[in-house]
Order: sequence, then C-alpha cells, then structure tokens
Amino acid sequence: MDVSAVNGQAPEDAESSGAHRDMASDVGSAFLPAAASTGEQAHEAELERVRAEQRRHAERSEMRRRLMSSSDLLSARLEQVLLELHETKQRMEEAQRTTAGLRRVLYLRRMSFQRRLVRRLLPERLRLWWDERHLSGLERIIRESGLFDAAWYRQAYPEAAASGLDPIRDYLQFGAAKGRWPRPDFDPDRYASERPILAFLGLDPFVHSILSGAKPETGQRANDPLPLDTDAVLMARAQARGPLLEGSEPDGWFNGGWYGGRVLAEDERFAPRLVTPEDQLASDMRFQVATSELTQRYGIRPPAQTIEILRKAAPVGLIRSACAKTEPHRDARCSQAMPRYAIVTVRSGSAQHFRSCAASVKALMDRDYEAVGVRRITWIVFGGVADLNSESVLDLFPADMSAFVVELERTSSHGAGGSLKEALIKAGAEWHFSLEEADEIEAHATAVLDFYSAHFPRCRSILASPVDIAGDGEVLRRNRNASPDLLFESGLAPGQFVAVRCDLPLNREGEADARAIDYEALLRVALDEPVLVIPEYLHRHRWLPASDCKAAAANSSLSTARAMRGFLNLFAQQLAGQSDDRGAPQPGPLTAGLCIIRTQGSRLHLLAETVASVLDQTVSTRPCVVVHGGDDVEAQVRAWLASQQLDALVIGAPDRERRRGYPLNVGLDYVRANASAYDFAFFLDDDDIIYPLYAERLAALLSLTGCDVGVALANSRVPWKPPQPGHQQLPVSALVAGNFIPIHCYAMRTAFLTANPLRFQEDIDYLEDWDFLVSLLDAGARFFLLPEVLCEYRIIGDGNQNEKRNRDHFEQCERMVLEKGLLAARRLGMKRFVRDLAAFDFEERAALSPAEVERLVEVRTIFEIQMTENRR
Amino acid sequence: MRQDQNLGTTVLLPVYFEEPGTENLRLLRRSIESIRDQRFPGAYETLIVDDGSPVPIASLSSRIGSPALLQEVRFVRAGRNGGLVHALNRGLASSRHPYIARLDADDKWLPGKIEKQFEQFLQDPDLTISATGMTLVTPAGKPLETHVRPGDWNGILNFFVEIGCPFPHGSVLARRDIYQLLGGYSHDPRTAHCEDYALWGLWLRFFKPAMVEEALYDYTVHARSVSALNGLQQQSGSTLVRETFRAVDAVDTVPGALQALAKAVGVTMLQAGILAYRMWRYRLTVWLPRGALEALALLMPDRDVSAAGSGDHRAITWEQVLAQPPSNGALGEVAVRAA
Repeated sequence: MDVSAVNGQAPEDAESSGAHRDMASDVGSAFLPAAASTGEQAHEAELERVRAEQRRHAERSEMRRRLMSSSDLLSARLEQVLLELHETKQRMEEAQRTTAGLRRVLYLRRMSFQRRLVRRLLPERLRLWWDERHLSGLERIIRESGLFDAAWYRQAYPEAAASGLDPIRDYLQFGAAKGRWPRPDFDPDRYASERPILAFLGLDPFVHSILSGAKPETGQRANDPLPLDTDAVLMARAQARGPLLEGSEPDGWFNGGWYGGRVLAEDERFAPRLVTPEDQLASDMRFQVATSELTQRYGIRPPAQTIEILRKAAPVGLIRSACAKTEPHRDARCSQAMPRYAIVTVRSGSAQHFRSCAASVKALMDRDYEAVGVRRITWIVFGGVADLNSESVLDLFPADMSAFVVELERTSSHGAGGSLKEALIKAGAEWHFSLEEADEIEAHATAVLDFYSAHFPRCRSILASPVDIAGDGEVLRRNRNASPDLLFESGLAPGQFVAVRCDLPLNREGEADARAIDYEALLRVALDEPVLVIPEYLHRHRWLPASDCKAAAANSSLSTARAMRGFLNLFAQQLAGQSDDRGAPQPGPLTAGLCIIRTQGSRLHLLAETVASVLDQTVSTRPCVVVHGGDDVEAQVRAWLASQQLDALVIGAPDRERRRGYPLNVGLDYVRANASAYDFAFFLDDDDIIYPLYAERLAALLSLTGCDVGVALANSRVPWKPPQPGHQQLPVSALVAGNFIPIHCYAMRTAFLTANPLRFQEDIDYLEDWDFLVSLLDAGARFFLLPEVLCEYRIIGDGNQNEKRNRDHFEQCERMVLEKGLLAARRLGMKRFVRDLAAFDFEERAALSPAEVERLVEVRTIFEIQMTENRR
Repeated sequence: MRQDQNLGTTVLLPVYFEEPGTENLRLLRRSIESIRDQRFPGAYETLIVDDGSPVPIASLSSRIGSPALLQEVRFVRAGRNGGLVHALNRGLASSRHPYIARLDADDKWLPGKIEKQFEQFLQDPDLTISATGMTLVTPAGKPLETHVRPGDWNGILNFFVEIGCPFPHGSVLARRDIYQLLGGYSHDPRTAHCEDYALWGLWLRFFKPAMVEEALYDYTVHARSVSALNGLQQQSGSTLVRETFRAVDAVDTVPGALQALAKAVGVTMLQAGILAYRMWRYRLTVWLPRGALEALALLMPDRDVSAAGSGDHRAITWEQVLAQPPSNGALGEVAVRAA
C-alpha cells in the first residue's frame, strides 16, 4: 500500500509511507540477534527521520511563503489600515461616552427623584396622601413577602414595640433610617454597601431584596427546596422590576449594542451608559467568574466537535463582512408607532416554574396597559396552562384580560406551525417573541422594544441577552451580547431573547413559514438584513438541574451544528467557484467493477491474499493484476495465481524505467478500453486487502449519490496484530494541502475516467497517488466520503525504502503536488471549500487532532488567498 | 410477510481454533446439534466460517460429528486469521438464504427457539430482527443466571440507551438484506469487541426489532470470553455507541416517526426504514410527499433535513431509492434533502 500525506502531521499520520516503513522496521528488529546494536541504529535512524521531517516542514513553509508573498504584503497593509481604523473608532466611542455622561446622570436623577419631584409639585394637603400611598405600597410588599420577622423585631427593638406601631410600618417610617434590621439575618447597611446604586436611587435595601428575589445571607441556596412563593409575591416581584433597579449592575450598562455591523450610538440606546473603564473591567471579571460557576454548576459540556471546527475552519472573515454589509430589506415597511406584541410559549412538560412565568407575563401586560392605555399584548400558549399543581395559571388573569391569553393545542413536535400563524394574525401582532415556560419576562420589555422599533423602524429582528437565574430565582449571570456579524462564531446563548416582526420570513426556500425562531433562521436573517442587538436585559432564563440540561445540551449541540452547516451552504451560494452539485444519479445499480492491482511480483503470498479478497466480493469484481516487470516476472505471477486457483486477469507493464504511476496507467488504459464491461474501478497494492463488502458498499454509494469518486476508510495492520485505525477523512478540498486518502480507499466511476483522460505521473517515485487525487479534484470529480472502514493495508518490512535513499526527489515531488494543489484551489474557488466543509460529518469520525484542525485552517487560507488572486 | 416467501436461514457460526482440542470440538458438536434440533420453516444451512485456524476446521469433520449431523453444514475458510468481524462479514457475503441466525461455536440454542422467532416474523411483515433471552452456563452446561430483556420496541430502545446491548448475539435471527443494507458488522477498531452493539445502534435507528421473552439460548461463560479478555476496549466502544445513539434521541422518536414516514410516502415501515437509512447514509435529495419532511427530521436530527432549493438538481425519486421502477417526482411531492 502507498499513501502520502504532508504538512506537518504527526509522523504516523503525516507520512504514511515513512511511518509504515519505520514501524515495520521496529517490528522486524525484534527478531534480530544483535538487538542492542540494531536498537541504537534504529534510534539513530528515527532521530534522523524526525530531524529530516523538521527540515522538510521548514522548507515547505518557506516555499509556501514564497508562493504567497505578494498576498502577504497586501494582507499586512490591510491589517495596518484596519488597525488604524479600529483605533480611530475606539477614540470616537470614548468621546461619545464622555459626552453622554451628563445625559446619563440626568436620566438617572429623573428616574430616582421622580417620586420626590412629584411630591414637591403636589399641594401641601396631598403630600401626606402621597407619602402614605408610597409607604402603603412598600408595607404591602414586605407583608406579603412574609420575610419580615415581626416577633424578633419587637424583641430586638423594645422602643419600637412600645410605640404601638405595626412593626413593618415602624421599620419603614423610622427603623430603616436608624439602621434597624428587619430580621435577624438581614443587615440593610451591608446589603446597601454592596449595591451603591440603591443609595443613589433612594431605595430601601430590604424592599429591594424582596423584589429582586435575593435571599437573606443565611437563607436558602439554589439547591435547597424552592420556597412556596405566593401569587402576591410573584406578582410583586414581577411588577416592581425596572430596567435600572436590579442589583449592583444596572441592566445593560456593560453590554454592547449593534445594528448590523455598527455599534449603537449613545442616543440610540434605551438606557444610557455610565461606565468607566474600571467599571467595565470589574463587570467583565464578574461575567467571567459567573460563566465559570455556571459551567461547573450545570455540568455544561463543550460543544460538539463540528461546532468547534466550523467556527475555526469556516471563512469567518468573509461571513462577518457579508453580515456587516447588510441593508434593511427594500420591501420592509416601517414599524407601527405603537406595535402589538405576541408572546409565544410552547410547553414541554416542565410545570415547576410555569406560574412564575405566567406572573411575569401578567406584570408585563399590566405595566404596558398602564403605560399605553390599551391592551396590545397577547400570550399564546401551546400545550396547556396547568402549573405544578395541575391548576390553571389563567386564574392570575382577571376576566378582562382573559381574551389576551390564547391556549392552543400542541399539534406538532416541531413547533407550532400553521396554528401559530393563525393566532398571530388573529392577535393582530406586529412582533412576536418566544418565552420558555420556566423563564420570566421583564415588566419593561415592551417599553424597550417600543423604543427600539421607533428608532430603527425598518429593523425586523431584535436580540437581547438573558439574565440567567437558578431554580429559585437567584441571579447567576448577566449574559453578554455579541455583534450580529459574529452570530456564526458565537452562536445563540441559551435562552437568548429574540423578537421578530411578523413580516420577516423565517422559513427556508420551499418550506412553509412556521414562525419558528431558531439559530438557523437567525443566521439566514443576519445574512440578509441587519439584526439589532440591544444591551438591555428583557427576560430571565431559568437554568434547570444539570440532568435536564445534559440531554438538552446534546440535542442543542446537534441542532446548532445542523444550523451552521445549513448556513454555510446558503453562504456558499454568494461565493464564486464550483458548487459540486451532483446531478441526479443515473438509475440502476453498478454491477461490475475492475480492481487494478499493482505488483512487482516480489511478494506472491501477499498478492494471493489480495486477489482472493477481490474475488470474495458480493458484487462482481474482476481482479486485474498489472505486473510491473519483464515478461519473466509476468509469467511467474501468472503461474503463481494459477497454482492458487485464483482467477485473475494479468497484464504486463514491462518498461522497468518508468516509475510507480506507470503500472496504474496501464490499468487505467485497460479500463478505458473496456469501459462497457466495467461500471467502476479501483486500485490495490499487492499487500492490501479489501473487506468482503467493499465493492457492494462503494457501488451502492456511486449509484445512489451520482458521485464520481466514492471514498472509504482503511485500517492499518501489523501482521498478527489487531487492526488499528488508518488515515481519517477530512473535507475533500483539504486534498489541495495534503493527502489523507490511501490509494485503495476509493472507487471511481468508469464513465468519469473515460470522459477525463487523467493519468498518474510516471516520472516520480513518490506521491503519485496524491497527485492523481488532486488531478481528480481539479477535473471536477464529485467525491463522496463514506465514513466506513472497508479495506486494510499492512505495515510490513519492505516499504518504499527509496524515500530514504532519495530525499531530494521526495521533496521535489511534494513541491510539485503542492503547486498543483494551489492551482486547483484557485480553480475550484471558495464556494467548493465551503460546500465541502458543510458536507463533512465531523461527528462520525474520531476527534480531530490539533494538527488536523490546523491543516483545515491552512486549507481555508489557501482558498482565501487564491480567491484574492482570482479577483486580481 | 407471506407464508409462501423464502424463509431459508443461514446460521452463521464463525470458528477459530488455535488447537482443535477435544473440548472445543465437543462444544462445536453441541452447537451444531442444537441447530439440527430446531424446526426451521424453510431450508437452512450452518455456515462455519473458519477464521484461518491453523488446522482447517473442515479437515476435522469426522471428529466433529457424523455425516448425518453435518449434512447441512458448509465450510468457508479465510486464508488468515482476520478477526471476528472479518469472519462474520465473510459469512454474510457467502450466505445463501434471506435470514441470518447467529451462533458461536461454544454456545447452543434451546428447542423451539427458531420456531418462535419465525412466528414473530410471520405475524409482523415490518419486523427485521428478533432475539431471545439467554441463560449463562458453565462449559459443562450448568446454568448460572438467566437474562430476559424487554420484548417491545420501546423497551428494546430504552434498554439500549440505559443499559447496553439488548440482543444476546447468539440469539439473533435477522433479515440478511438489512444486514447488507447497513454494511454488515463495522470494521472500525473503535468498536472492536462490541461489533454487534455497534451494528444494532444503526439498525435500531431505522428498523423494527422484537424479542421472544424466553431464555432460549445458552451462553457459555469461560475465562477466555471476549469480555474477559478485552473488557476495557469493549467498554470504551460501548460507550461510544451508546452516546452516539443517545444523541439522536431515538428512543422517543423512532417508532412514531417511522410510522409517520411510511404513512406519508405510502410504503411499509420496512421500506420507510430503508428509505430513511439511505437518505441518511448517502445524504440524498429525494422527491417525497411534503408530509414526510417532519418524520425524516425526527429520524435524523444529525442531518440537515429540509425542502431542497429550486436550484438543487440532485433529486431522485423515492422509488429509485428503494430500487423500484422510477417515476419523475409525482405531483405534490417536494424534494427533501438530508445534507
């Protein structure tokens, strides 16, 4: 067997011929008497081989550098310009931030002093009423929370008990100002000192702790049983949330905002920022710590291999650029001044937090009604409205709101489909967004959406990051945004908020629009028109226990990978180059194959086994033994096969001066001359075997897919040892930078060979097999990689030792094929690379080594450079 | 399945004897006798695949048993010891009958096994594979413990994900065409020593199984068993198979989705399985009724299943996929791609 691979892979992968030879040498040496001496020699030889490998790698890099030097200059200049641009942009943003400072302060003051301002404007006689109204509200919140320890308060502060006032009222009117504690484990001063914004806004720490769901310091943690919150508490929490009232980190301040490829200006943000670089750094660190804790707490596993590799190997620069350049759709009208909204919840059977979810929706509806004076939000729930106790959450909604909660049957496991569209039309909704059954929407959500739809009237999709919460509502993390042009690389955060306008198509071409908002649909949108990413948090995403998350994560990983592949196929349509779209396959099975076996007649026992493996096939396959040698050798081979009762065609390749590709060309000539007798052909060396279903599998593949070249996997085997995995597959385009397909691993359609007079190089001793594969690729052959092991090559002691004898020639061969690969890349174009990448199933093969990932990145670079060359 | 269909069976019996010792030959004779004692509904053969034993097994015929016992026995021999997977696939390639039963050289069947399994096949034309419970026994035949696993489709799928291989390999009776459709046992070294579990992992994603809930197979336990010799490798292979299967969420979806696909296309569940497998394996674009789209998406969450774009010219008909006379995309069908 012979296979050549290059480009700095580990020895066993990178250079199979050499690797086999060396391994074979090791095996052989175990049987020699002078073991020590041979061992030293072998060691020296190994060292020499490694050194030589390093030398070759360095020279290859140098060669590539030369080939790409002109592009490098251009790239360097481009990078410099981009850097300058970036710095200028940063200076401008800094200036904008400084200018906005005053506005931010004014905004906050407006928010925090509103109550006092109103009081001042009221007539004297109404001020007492105003204060009482305010105090009553706070008193109600504390009382309904059940968290105030009245008995302890009376005991701890006898003077309060003596006053005769209700302890809660006493606490609110006098106690809080005097630093009294509302319960033995809540220190208001400490709480407030950790949240400076409270003093700035004049909020009572204890009330804030109740509203934000924070627990007293000695209270319950996330893993404890959930407290039995009353509906009143749920509602109070939901109603009281505002955009700027939560915790020590005001919502959205530290988050980015983008519209398509550009950053939002300060006056385009709903909540202006008050951020110093130190604050930002501290916030970033909090985010990192929170992410790390979340990962550990919920056992979040790294994403599937496909996702990681596509993020690295796909042409992300081109994707970013395409997404950043989008313009609003020319047919998109402006959003209405006061749009109607629909919230869509699809039940999946987890009822534990559904009542909290419903309470948050109710609070949003109430707040919105107060603000705009009409009911314009509809909640569409698929799959029932029962909570944990099998009671309907509709009891939270008074009769006049019941028309705005629509309960629909979940008819399809794939989402809501047609019934959702009907419901959206019936609700007259202009925008809709999803809310998971355990999540909670913020009461200010529609106010924020109103603001952005007014400022970006032709925008049809809005993304916001979630606040991640635990089962008991504890805030775990305020997730961060990424700009829309990074959507492919960063993915969607778990529970990401996405609102879309109802006139934005979410379906693929040829499919019905089920209004399903998923990652794939968003990627398509991002390629088509600007997506708005806003800094504010509009909802809370509840993390369920690790066991639930694990199954969901596996599923989500698959769907994310699927979405990325779908997107790459779509993106490829924008690129130039070959598409590798296979035409419809010819009907009818491929019934006859020819196996071209290359031999020099020097290992007849192995040849017998090779031929026997061909004759054992379930699809008629004729062994065609091409003897590279004189007539005497050919006669010897004939006699041997006859003696073994092996029925094989034997033809001669008598010119000993020609090299390794020559006998294979003799075989190809035979195939072309007898094309009507054989549907497909493949090669074997005389020490390889094919497994019993090889021909059947590859014939079925060629027949069903219509491809020209079907590729399988091979095992490697040291005699008398179990087989080991051989070379792993990569996307076909990676052939331009190195070989990963052993010569016996592929079968070719005879019709393609007849139409394309490709031949092996006959003047090279090495890499003729890789060269032939590049020729097939360059000729437009359509490959299909089948991740099944169908053959085996053996690692024995008589590998091609010529390589060691003639290193210079090997390197010359390598340069020649690499240059051919570069030209092939230019001709095939980026489109072909992207299509190949999307078509490759990374999950079905063993994990890619870092060197393989690096190789893919290198291949992408080659295609990018060749794309630039083409443009010139 | 119709009564007049070919119900011939090839019993696949791979053998590798380093030494043709008396005990080995006694156990092999016992296996062959247990096959002979079954009531097959059609013709049968016992195919002994000699995996390159130093002394050819066929040459030991007289020591194995009388000519009458070996009347239905056929030998094929590999030139070298290629391992169990190679022997099994060689046997598949050489088999003459449409049903394949498995048995190892040191195990035996109990009377009535094959008959009960064929009853299942006769009652359910969509059935593709049937297994039975087993009793672990010592080489002397002393019973140690009995394992009878769930018999229904969902039970088998659940067992696969939660516990491990649901089918005792030597109890399996299955359709040869499905064996071949799926490419036989995998030669992938990552799943060495759990080649059966790996194959069922693919099989159960697309085809209907059943189980006779009776222990009708004696599995001989000895120190040289595969599990004892290659436990670690077997464990890592099994984990890979199980995790792959778990990721596609087949337990809750396969039976319903296959039925839905069969209904949408108007074919049997068996044909629906063939169609889905080929679309999955070869990433085909196929003209199908629109109703098939959702079922296919459920069956293959690891593929990008969607209606093909108008510029996609690769579509073939589902009849072509099933090797039926081709049509050119019936009215109302949509080209579905599994990329």
